[in-house]
Amino acid sequence: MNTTPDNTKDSDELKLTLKKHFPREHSQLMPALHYVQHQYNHLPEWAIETVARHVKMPLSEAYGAASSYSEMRLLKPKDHLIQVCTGLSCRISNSQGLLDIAKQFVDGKTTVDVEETSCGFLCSVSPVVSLDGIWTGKIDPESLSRSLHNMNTGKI
Amino acid sequence: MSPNSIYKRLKSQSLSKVDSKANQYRVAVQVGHCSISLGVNEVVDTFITYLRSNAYLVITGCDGSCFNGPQVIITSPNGDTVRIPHVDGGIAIRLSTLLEGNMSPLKFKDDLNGFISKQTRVVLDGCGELDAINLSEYVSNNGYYGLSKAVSMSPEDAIEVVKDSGLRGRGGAYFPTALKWYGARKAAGKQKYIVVNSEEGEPGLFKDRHLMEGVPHKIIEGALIAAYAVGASNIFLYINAEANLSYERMEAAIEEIRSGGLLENGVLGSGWPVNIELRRGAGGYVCGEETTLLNTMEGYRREPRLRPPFPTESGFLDSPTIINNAETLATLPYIFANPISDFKSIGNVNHIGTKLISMSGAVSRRGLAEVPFGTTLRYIIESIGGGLPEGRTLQAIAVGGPSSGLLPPALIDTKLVPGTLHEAGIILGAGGVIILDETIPIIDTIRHLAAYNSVESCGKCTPCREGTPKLVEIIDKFMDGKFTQADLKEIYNLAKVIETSSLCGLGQAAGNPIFSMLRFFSNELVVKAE
Repeated sequence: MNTTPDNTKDSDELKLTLKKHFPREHSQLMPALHYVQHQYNHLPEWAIETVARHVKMPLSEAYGAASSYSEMRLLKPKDHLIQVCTGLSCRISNSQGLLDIAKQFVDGKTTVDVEETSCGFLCSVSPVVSLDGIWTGKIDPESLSRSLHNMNTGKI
Repeated sequence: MSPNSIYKRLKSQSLSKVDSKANQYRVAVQVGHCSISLGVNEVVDTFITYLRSNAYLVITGCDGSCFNGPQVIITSPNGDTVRIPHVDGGIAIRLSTLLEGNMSPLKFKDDLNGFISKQTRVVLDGCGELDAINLSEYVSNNGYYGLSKAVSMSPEDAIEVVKDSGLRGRGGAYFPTALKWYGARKAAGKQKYIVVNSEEGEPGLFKDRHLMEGVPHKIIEGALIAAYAVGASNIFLYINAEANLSYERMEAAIEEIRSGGLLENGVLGSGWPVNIELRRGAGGYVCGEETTLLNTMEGYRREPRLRPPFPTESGFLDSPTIINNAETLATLPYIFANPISDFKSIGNVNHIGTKLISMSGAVSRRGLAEVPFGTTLRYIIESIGGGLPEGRTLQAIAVGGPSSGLLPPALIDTKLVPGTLHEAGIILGAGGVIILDETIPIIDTIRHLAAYNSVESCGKCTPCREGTPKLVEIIDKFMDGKFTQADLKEIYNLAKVIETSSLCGLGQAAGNPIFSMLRFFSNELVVKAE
């Protein structure tokens, strides 16, 4: 993991922000990582390194922690993300059908990803699908297809 | 000034603020993460545009009747209240027009069918009715009165009240709350912490989110009571990484009490200073386990710690730490604000109080309900939930999430009590109840639960890390119809090993779906094999 010239400016900015808002303590690792993920939509390697130095942790430990949490993204995500909940409530409300539609839509596209989610915590309005982080409850195949078409044409 | 007189002043200020709007129509829109997914934001925007000066808009949380969302409650100046389900932008325009002409929309009929009246609402009282964030609304409905009573007592007496109430932790372990508090109070160390556990990462649950979105002040009030009783000067509100609306509401509610002066000169002027901070989770079922939660807060991997030492002695940064579930803390305002006999009369002698039930699946009225301990599943599903939708047949009831198993329809009269509901691996857990019909085969559901546990295993304990995927492999054999008697024996033994040799609750309960399958649904396996 190296800080390359490409992100020197970003890294300097991050250092300043960390210095200003995050005490140099081990317990600030996760708040700082949340901040980075919010800024960059994932955790770039150079940023984990910058954060690790700031909170005075070995990089290996910081990376180990970051990689153990499911909400922490180490890889840069694609432009769009479709999440289909396949929890128990959604499964009995045709989540498989919705997943098939989403997979078919994503097939061959380089800018959209599809993900199965174990729970969207919206079981009372199942089935649910999220497009770029926005959940829609009681969604049927037709309206999912419509939303995906809109995504395709750049309307969302 | 004493906490009592500070509270009295706060209350009279609050009442006059609320009274100043009494001659207007009150339009309360229930905005929760559930109704947002059904388009409630459009309803809010419409009311903002179309409501005239004789009406005012209030944003509440969802009252639990998610099946009716987006839902609006309109209160006329004369006090008449109308509940309107399934509101969209068009209906909001029509309602605004009616109100502009001073006509109450009485023609709408609510379709709650007793969903709320059949519950016992202690924690949910006010949820979906009160402005979620506004301090004056909460205080004018007796909010923070319990806190004023608590800080007027000695901390020891406050713990004694909690002990007398019989309150147990609602996160799933049902450990006596007062015992935890005593432990931390007695523990050496100047710095003590309260952590409000709102990680809520268990599939099928949505109770903490409803509380944070609808009655954030109740959780804060409970946490302040805990801080005072235990002698902690720091509170961390630990909120699930994905629960953004919850986070916003909690943050706004804290700002309300700060600007309302509740924390000046200590909590309600008691001289006991408390600092409140928000923290986010980072994903994972095991993160709700209290020692794992501490690891997350300190910047370590998501893994449980060895106990002892227990967090009450050595928790966050090695200091005594109380980790209480949001629902547990939200029960405290009621306990302190009313005669203790009121709370003790709910449920029965051995299991006092209420439990929030996150009800979903194949049931007519899906949502969040609050019932006394000892209530049967039948009452919840049939009376409150309205039974299964027409044409669908009950096949199993998933109670307690992936750490529990499936109950067969024959056991629908099982009473919900803290802890174990049936020896075959069924626990109440945090109160998730998913009603399953015949859409998905039982074995498929069991595999789903087992696979979830194997993915969520943190990897620290070998039996859990290696054993949980193996359980899934054996279930796959069942599903393919290629299994022998030896496989049946092996899956049972393996589940037992994982249960007995894992450090935390995830591994200890990972066998439960399997035990329930072997006990109640072994017929399905035979049928599959043939």
